[in-house]
Amino acid sequence: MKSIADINAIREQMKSKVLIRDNTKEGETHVFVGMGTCGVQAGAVEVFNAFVDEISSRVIKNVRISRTGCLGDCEKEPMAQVVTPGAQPVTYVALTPDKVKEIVEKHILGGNVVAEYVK
Amino acid sequence: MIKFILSVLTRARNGMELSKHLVDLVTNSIEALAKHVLIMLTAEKGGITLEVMDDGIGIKDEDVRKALDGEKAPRGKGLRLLREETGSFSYRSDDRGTSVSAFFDKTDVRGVGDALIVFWQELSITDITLSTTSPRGVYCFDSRLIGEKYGDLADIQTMVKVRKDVNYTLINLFGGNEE
Repeated sequence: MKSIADINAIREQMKSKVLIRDNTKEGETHVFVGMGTCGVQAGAVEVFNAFVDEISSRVIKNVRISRTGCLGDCEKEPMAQVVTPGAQPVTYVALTPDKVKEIVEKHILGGNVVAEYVK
Repeated sequence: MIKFILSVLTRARNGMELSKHLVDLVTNSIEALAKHVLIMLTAEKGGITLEVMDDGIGIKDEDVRKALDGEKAPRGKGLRLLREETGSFSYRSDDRGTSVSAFFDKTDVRGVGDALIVFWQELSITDITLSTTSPRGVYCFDSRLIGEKYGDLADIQTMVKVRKDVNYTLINLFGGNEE
């Protein structure tokens, strides 16, 4: 039997996933960019705006970009989580605007996770 | 009634741009359940004073102390860095809201539009007003007018328009190069 501490630990681990599920509309890809202080210092605002640039210039529909809190691994910031319908969330680390272009091209448009940038 | 006032003078040094600090401060306001955040940028004394005010639930003195001491704190993101990197920093908070003010000795407003659109998804619950004053003029951006002035909030092209307009206007008013 699990202890209260175990259950609380599981609850903490699942919190972000539950929030993501609740906020994402059916059929929509949702990109969450980690905007804790660590992320902002590491370049998360540039990464957020790079997603906006790529999604808008390619006129891709059904993609929402949001900020979220620290994604839990400060030394690997900037980080972003890509949630596509029917798939597990994928967390990308140490992002740059160039890596964002590749993720939009291969993952969001092509459906293939860019494994080399995954956590 | 003001519960807490802190004023610290430190030596300014090169660090994170004003726009990045803005992201931390507005995040704090949103986490304090603010319905309205007012950002003021004022050109003075060869630099810029940034003030962020909100109508949120405030922050406890203890949490501010922890944040400034570098201890793990549930609230007060980025305050320590802000204190370290600005020439002056002041803070007031009570249960009706919070105000943070800091002076930046460089007139660098690059990326304020980029910073504002980070909060796009929160605009349905938190209104953001940006009010700026410089010798070249005044400017006001109000997120409640986005639909009327820029287009549908659900359209990503509207985010791009707002970012461009804010960046362009601030560079014209405060000087510098648009990136």
